[in-house]
Amino acid sequence: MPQWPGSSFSTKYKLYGDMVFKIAMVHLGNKDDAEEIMQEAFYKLLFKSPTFNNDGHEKAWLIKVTVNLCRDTLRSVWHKRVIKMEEIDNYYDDPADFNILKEIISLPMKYKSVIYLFYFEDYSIKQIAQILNSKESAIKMRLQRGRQLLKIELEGNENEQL
Amino acid sequence: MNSFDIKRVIGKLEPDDDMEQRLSAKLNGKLAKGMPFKPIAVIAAGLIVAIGAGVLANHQIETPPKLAVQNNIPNSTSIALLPDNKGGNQAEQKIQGNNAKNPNLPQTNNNQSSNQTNSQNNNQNNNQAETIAPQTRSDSDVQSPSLPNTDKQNDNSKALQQNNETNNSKQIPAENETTPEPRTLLRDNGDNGVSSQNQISQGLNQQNEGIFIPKVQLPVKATDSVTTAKMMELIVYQGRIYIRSTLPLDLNRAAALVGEKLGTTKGTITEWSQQNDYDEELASTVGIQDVYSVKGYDKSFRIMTYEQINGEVNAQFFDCLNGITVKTGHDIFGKFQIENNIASVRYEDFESWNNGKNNFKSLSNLDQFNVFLAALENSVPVNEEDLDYLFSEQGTTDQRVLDIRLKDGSGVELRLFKEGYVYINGVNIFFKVDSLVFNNFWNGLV
Repeated sequence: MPQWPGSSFSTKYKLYGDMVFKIAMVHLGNKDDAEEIMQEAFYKLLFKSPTFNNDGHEKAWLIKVTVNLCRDTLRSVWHKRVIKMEEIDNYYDDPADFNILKEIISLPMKYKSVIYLFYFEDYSIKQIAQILNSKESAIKMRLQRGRQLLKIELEGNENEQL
Repeated sequence: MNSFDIKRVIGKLEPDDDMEQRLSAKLNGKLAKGMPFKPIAVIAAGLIVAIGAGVLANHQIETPPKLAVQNNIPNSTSIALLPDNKGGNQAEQKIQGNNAKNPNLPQTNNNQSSNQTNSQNNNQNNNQAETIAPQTRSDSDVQSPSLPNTDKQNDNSKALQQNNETNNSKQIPAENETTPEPRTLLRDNGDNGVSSQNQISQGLNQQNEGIFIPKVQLPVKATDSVTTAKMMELIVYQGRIYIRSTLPLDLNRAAALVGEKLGTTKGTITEWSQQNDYDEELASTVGIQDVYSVKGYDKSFRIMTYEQINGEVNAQFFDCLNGITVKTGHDIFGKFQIENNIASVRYEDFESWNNGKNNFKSLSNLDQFNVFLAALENSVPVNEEDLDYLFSEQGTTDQRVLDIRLKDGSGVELRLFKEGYVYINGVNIFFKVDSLVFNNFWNGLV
């Protein structure tokens, strides 16, 4: 019987709440769905997670769980889902920013995860491959395609990373 | 757009201040639901219920008869939501035969019966098949989100309550009243009202709400519609209608695709055309055959039949590309598992395709195709009716047909139009691909 670790939730939420919310928003595009994903993700983290080696391990596990939950949600209701973009524009003053997010949200699922992890969480391709349990070559390909679709300008040594 | 833009934009997505509190409460509730059996708690709950029931009974005894009738309203309302006519004529929909506009698509199944040929002819003659909606009980189960949605439940409760107030003590609506729509149709913020009226609902609007492909409707009565349904080879599974795929399948490799056995179809259309049999799992128009999931594919999209008779393989995909909303190309093309699974890509011009000449040319530059594929997944759906002229102006140089063969033995056929559109048979939607990518790819198809 799991005990309700209220303080644990608070601690974990402070650590990961922002990240889980962002992942869910980027993947699902609306706040209500994101909140449900957060609920499920934290439930799993608090009650169903394995023993973690370190904080990095825990974070990677939570990212994977969250991405999977988003994918399941999209799969299960994808045929009747209408992304409510009007909710998202509340987060932005500048319409250009809103448009950028709209483009990211419009990406196919597999590209979104990679774009988010690479550009926002600063994970390397190797790390992303481990988190998403994919081959590095597949991650590279997704990153390339995501870039092409978003028309992202390459900077610095990004080419070398690919 | 650069990496800083992405960081800045995503960085602004932050949960509101109350999120932690709400989640904490929800998790508490979730945890409470998951608590193990406790006899004391059950006894206490039982006592509370018993006392409550006693109070209620006492209250009803003292209540005038009229009020007692009103107390029964919730039950009557639930009856009203499921009318006996199960949707009746309101749910009539037209569906378009898969092959109506593509008579030359290759048939992979060697055991196509003469019925199949007749069916195709009928299909062309009828062009549009009209059938009537049945009640599919399992539909709501299949399509409900995996995560709990208390808000929606609340909405339903409110709707019921409102309905009660409107209907008062009426149990069955009068014939001339607007009857509730059948539950076979998808419900999404009321949009299904449109879907029940049109072949393909609601074209692409400014906000890209997508195009809804209505669920294929099964016939209710043994009328001409039965014939219509017969010519569409289909299987009912978990509330979805799977139509026989016209896409290529290498029979020599079909065995490797056979997944878990889902069951055995229940024979003829006559069987499920009866009123009580609409919900019957694995009802079909393909006789009695074993049905399997397909390895590597989501079974909500694709299932298959497979059998060997005298060493001869008979296998067939059945795809469900109806009852769905298409927002981007990914919603359709993503299902075919094309990425990283390509064995070969070849193409032919319209002249060859239309006359079955099979003058294919191989596409050697798969890199360019992969770029095209990525753009295709991000393409925007457009109603077929809006671009009907593309079919009528069938110039030999304005179209190419791509024949994509996948490593698992399956295939996908795409029809490309010079204007930048892609069409896939059976979906009856055009997809507008990014012009730059499309033109680059098109120019390579010399």
